[in-house]
Amino acid sequence: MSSPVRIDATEWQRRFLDLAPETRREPRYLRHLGEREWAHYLKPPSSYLPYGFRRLRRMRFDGDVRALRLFSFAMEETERLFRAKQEGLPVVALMGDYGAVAPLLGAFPGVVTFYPDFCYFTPFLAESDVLLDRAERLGIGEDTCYVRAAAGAFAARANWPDPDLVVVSTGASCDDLAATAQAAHDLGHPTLFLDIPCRKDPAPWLRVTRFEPADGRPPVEAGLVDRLVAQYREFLARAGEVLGQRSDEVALAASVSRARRMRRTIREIRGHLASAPAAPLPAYEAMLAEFAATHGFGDPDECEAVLAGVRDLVAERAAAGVGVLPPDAARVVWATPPPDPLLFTLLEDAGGRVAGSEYLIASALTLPPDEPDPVVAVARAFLAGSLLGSSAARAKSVVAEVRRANAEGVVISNLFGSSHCGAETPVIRRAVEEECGLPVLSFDVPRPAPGGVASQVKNRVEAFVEALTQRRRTCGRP
Amino acid sequence: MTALAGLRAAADGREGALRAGIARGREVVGLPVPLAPPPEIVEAAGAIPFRLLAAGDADAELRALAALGRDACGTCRGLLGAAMVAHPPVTCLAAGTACDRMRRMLEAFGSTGLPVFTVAVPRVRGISGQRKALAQELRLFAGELSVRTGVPATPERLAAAIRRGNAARRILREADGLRRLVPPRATGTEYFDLVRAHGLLPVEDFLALAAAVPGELAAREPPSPDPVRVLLTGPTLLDGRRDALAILEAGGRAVAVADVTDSGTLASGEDVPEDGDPFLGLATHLLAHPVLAAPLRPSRAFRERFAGTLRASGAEGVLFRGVPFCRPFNSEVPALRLLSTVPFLEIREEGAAASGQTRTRIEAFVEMLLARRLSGGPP
Repeated sequence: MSSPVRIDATEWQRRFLDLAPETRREPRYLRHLGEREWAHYLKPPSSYLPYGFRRLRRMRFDGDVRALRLFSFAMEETERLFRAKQEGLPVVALMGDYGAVAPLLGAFPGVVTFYPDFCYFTPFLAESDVLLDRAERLGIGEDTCYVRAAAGAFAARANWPDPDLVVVSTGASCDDLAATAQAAHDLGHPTLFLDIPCRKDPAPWLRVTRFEPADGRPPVEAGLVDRLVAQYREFLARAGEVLGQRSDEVALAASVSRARRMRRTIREIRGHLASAPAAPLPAYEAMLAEFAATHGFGDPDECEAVLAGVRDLVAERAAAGVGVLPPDAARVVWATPPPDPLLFTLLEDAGGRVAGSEYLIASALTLPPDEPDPVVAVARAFLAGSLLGSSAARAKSVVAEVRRANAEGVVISNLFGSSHCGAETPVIRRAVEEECGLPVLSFDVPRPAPGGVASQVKNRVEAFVEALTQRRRTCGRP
Repeated sequence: MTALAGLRAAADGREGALRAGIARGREVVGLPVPLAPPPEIVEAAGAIPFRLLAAGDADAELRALAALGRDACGTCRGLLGAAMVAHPPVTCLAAGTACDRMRRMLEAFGSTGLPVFTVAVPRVRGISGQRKALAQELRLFAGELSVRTGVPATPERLAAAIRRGNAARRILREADGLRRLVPPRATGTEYFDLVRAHGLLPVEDFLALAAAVPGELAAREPPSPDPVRVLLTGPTLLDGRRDALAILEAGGRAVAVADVTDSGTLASGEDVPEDGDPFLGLATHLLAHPVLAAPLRPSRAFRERFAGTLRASGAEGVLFRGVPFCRPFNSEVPALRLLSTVPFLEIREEGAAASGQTRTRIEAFVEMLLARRLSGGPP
């Protein structure tokens, strides 16, 4: 194991040339198609600069090839989608569900899935307003969160091939995403809508009458599982009609088992991130690993191998007591995924470390329980979703994450205009301050700008880390 | 005093009467949206439904900022702010999860100390079994409210409440039809006054006071001989945002002859089926309601309603009065514009009171529609 280090894109380019040819050629996507020259995807970050991802010049990355493989695998998703389409594989866009529909679509072997929602990061990686402006022309303007970039991308028809099917999960979720998905539907894509049920978490102001035993998961209202299962069954039948395939129950069971394995691996990675004395992985790569749980970046077989490599890497580092950041880095829990990944670099350069997270994808990180019916297992896991319930329930999960990660503070990156951030943030802040006695930094992520992160946000992040360090001296934590 | 003036006066004095009722131990259920849950269930459970209106007051909205964020929509901020500042005469609150912001507003209402009943409503059209599921949700609400009031919401009581509700709807529909006549026999302001009274008064009082209103309006001279005919749309024309309507209809130069809003046609709508299981009947009514369709995806039914109303009303212009951050309605504007065969004015403004800028824009819009008529544009 080489010494853990964070390096920039230029340094990775230099080191990449030193990698053994077999190391460079081993990672391949869509392996089931056989040997394809284009399927070798391991590339240094600088390879993506010509695609317009200018932000990468300012970021720092893990210097290990296993982390690079994760980064490349995620970054290559667009290329992979076009290649899949070229090979005649059905491409399905998923919106709003995070971890439920992709395992279900495993019932149709060969289907390649992606989340247009994750285009949320693109304006920042590209330091460009183009997609946001395009969305505005569709009527989804500045009073909507950055997920609106997906509407711009649908209109631009350059970020992914035209999907064979769009599956939109809306309901007890973000309204901004619902509007974005409606815009995609208006562009003429075949679309199936799913209704996300509202989880009435037990609280005095959300009255419910019946709850099921929870087996350690959040309790849910009786009947929700049955209704969701019926909806998923109907969805599988309708998706089969659109895709021209019959749902394969054996493949479905295998797909759900694979999702369970993948999530278990990600939980191991998260465990090391929370408990290792020094951060065993930078926050950006850690976030990519978490997001892999949603759909395996469209190639879950390869994704399993990628995640296993990352898991081994963090386990080795944790066992050796080494990390990519100094052991005294201030430990924070980050709530809501920042659309600008440079914020992670900023936090880490300032002396902080993301030891825990709540990136709104709790449904994807929840293990589908062992159930004879895989659809029931998917439904049960999905009902743990971050946005299905109350703001108080989400605050509770942030508090739990703070305790799990032994954090010293919480950072909330708000999205101006988002239907949930404004109401959730005060609730999360109050819960963290009252139950954990810890400081909270919350800010709205400003629009992408070529000069890097706005100086006001930069100052606040740096001051927050400084305050945590100072607090440690005065309070004796951790 | 005309029947409409009597109705207005009764609606204005309603809060005092309710406070007296509460003092006598009556349960009053505040309904921010009078459709979900349906007021009929509240009545059947022996409680009094009361339409909660947004404050229409900038200070109240500011109070709600801390709980909902500065990017919360004006409707939710206004409703919560009104509860924080004015303490409406209600003992509990019930509302459907019509959009994400509404759902979170209900949670924030907890800080006022009022018990809140959250009714999960579907957000996607055409899912199998959703009618039954919604009926079950309404049954749960009725059951919980009955425990609170001690009056079981039996099917018989609910059926009777539905019959009364339909009678009220017929009055509203009759008045709605009067403003579509050529020349209009009622103004938009008069129609919205009826709608407001319908939300604030117990249905028996409304039926008694409003029954004569359509006849009275039809019998008088038309308020204006040849006004510009305008279709209103947007979320919140009733809730402290009547200013746009007042500016539009000032001087009798224009009349809002129809609306596709969540406060006008929302109140009238079609009759609730009176036969069979009343909970299923209410669920059917809710799911078929064209304006509830605004947050229901896909949006086709809402847009069809808009296009149909525009055609049928003979409107010469469309006025969209929105508020920033109202995602379900605002995101529909480009589609509505495309469907609109007549000039379309979009106003999206923070706060309850129209600014001078808004006044100028609406007045200029009416001038433009009049000029268009004179220059031979479509009547």
